[in-house]
Amino acid sequence: MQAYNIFIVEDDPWYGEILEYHLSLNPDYHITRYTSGKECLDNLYKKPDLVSIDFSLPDMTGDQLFQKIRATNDQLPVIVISGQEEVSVAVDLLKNGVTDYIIKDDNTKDLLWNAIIKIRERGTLKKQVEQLKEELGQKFAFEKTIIGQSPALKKTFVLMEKATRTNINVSITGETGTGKEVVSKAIHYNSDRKKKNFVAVNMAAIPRELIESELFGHEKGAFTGAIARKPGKFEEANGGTIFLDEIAEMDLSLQSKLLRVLQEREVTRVGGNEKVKLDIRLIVATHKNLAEEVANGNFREDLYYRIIGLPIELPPLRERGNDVLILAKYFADEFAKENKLPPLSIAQEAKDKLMGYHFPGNIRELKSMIDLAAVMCNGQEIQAEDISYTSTRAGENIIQEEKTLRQYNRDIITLFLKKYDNDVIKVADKLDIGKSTIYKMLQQKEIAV
Amino acid sequence: MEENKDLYDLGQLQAIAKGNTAFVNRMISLFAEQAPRTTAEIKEAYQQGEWEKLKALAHRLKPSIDNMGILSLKQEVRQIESLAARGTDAEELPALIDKMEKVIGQVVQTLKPVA
Repeated sequence: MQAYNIFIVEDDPWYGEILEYHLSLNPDYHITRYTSGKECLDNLYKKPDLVSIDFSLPDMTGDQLFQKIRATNDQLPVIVISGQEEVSVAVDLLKNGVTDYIIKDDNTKDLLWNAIIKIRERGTLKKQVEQLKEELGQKFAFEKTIIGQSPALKKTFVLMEKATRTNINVSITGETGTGKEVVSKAIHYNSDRKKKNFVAVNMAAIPRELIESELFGHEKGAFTGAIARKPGKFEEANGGTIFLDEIAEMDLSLQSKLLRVLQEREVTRVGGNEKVKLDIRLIVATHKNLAEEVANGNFREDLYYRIIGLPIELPPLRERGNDVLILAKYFADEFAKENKLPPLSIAQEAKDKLMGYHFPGNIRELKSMIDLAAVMCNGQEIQAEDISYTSTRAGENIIQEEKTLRQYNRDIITLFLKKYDNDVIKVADKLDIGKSTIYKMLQQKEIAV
Repeated sequence: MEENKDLYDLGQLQAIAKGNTAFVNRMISLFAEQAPRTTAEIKEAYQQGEWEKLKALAHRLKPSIDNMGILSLKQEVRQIESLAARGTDAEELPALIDKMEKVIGQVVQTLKPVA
């Protein structure tokens, strides 16, 4: 294990010796002692992992030394040990960002020991979080996140690339299931903000009476049940990206509050007065046409112009040509990997069936379709019959494609048979055709029940 | 070597040392070297009316008096510190400083390395 380097800045040799000896009992620690602030500053290039400073040094106060350390390194944990028992000194130091404050008494060495353990743990956790964020960023590399090669998708890539280079707000539109949240995450994790939070909020999923405190936070006692101060999603996303999904579902009163937050670049928690400065990138998404919503009086025009930024329209899957097959293979491989199955291939007839479908639920629907097909298939190849249309809007498929009248007849009768539990008499009645027509088609295996 | 428990008690220092006698002896010699010097500085600061310096010196001496188990000076060093913090002379100060000088002198004379 690499040594944990601790600087002790203490002008009293006796006390410094005691602290050094005590901390040295941990073999992981490498202690270096300095007797003045200047000596400590001159040696910061040695990159200590932690600095413990005495408040009363001969050449500067602990506070002054702390400020000088911060000016060169804003991450280095600093503990101040002081005989100053005034609470205000401790509060000021902690407010200024000192990691811990310890009063000099009989327990100091033990308190210091414990404080260092806690700081190391926090440091380890911080490193792990940073590493995970890095991995997450790699996971959200464009080519890994958004699968496909169609010209429609390539246009989207170009816009995403532009979005990552600046801090511009981004508005994403597209049908349900086209991957709006995935695109917004990919923009965040490929931008300079990737080390900070990505916070997603679905405006349609939060009850109206809670949404203001969810977004902007609240102070303790702001309303019944507000038992403690809670930062809102905007604060959580500070330094990073906030993604407001289904923005068109926001009511007009909240729209004006959001507009103010975006204009002022600061937020005030519900029931509070303190203004919290914000540095965020806003990404919004909706499946609705926002311009139409403005025209219909459902969306504020000033907010529209504030959030529209760089518009990215995600193409529906039916307009992405062969991407359907690329995605289908990708989902089949993922399913096999996750379930420790041998790799799955897709038969030509199954491919034709997929290509002939218009996917009203887009990528989300395709994934669920492939997952089910992977479960239903016997062997290692997905067949046409393994693929079933699970969409609530599957019937719309019939009129979306160019087919012969005979093919249309076959599809319509199959749909009705499915709908009425294979009750041939009922289907014949509903479609106003003879039941013998249906039986004949069944006999000739044109349709199946 | 038996220590003079009326003057000092190395129990706390030995507890910190966790059996490391070399460390205890190093601290003993550090005390013998430093404490008389600091006491002289305290006396001088008092004579010069340098209250802030007097307070800082008493504050600095506190941990060694505590760790060396010099119980007869435990309260006295704190009293000197808090009286000096007032920033004016106090009639108790000369006696307290004299006592400190005397006791520390005795401790240093009696102190022997531990084996």
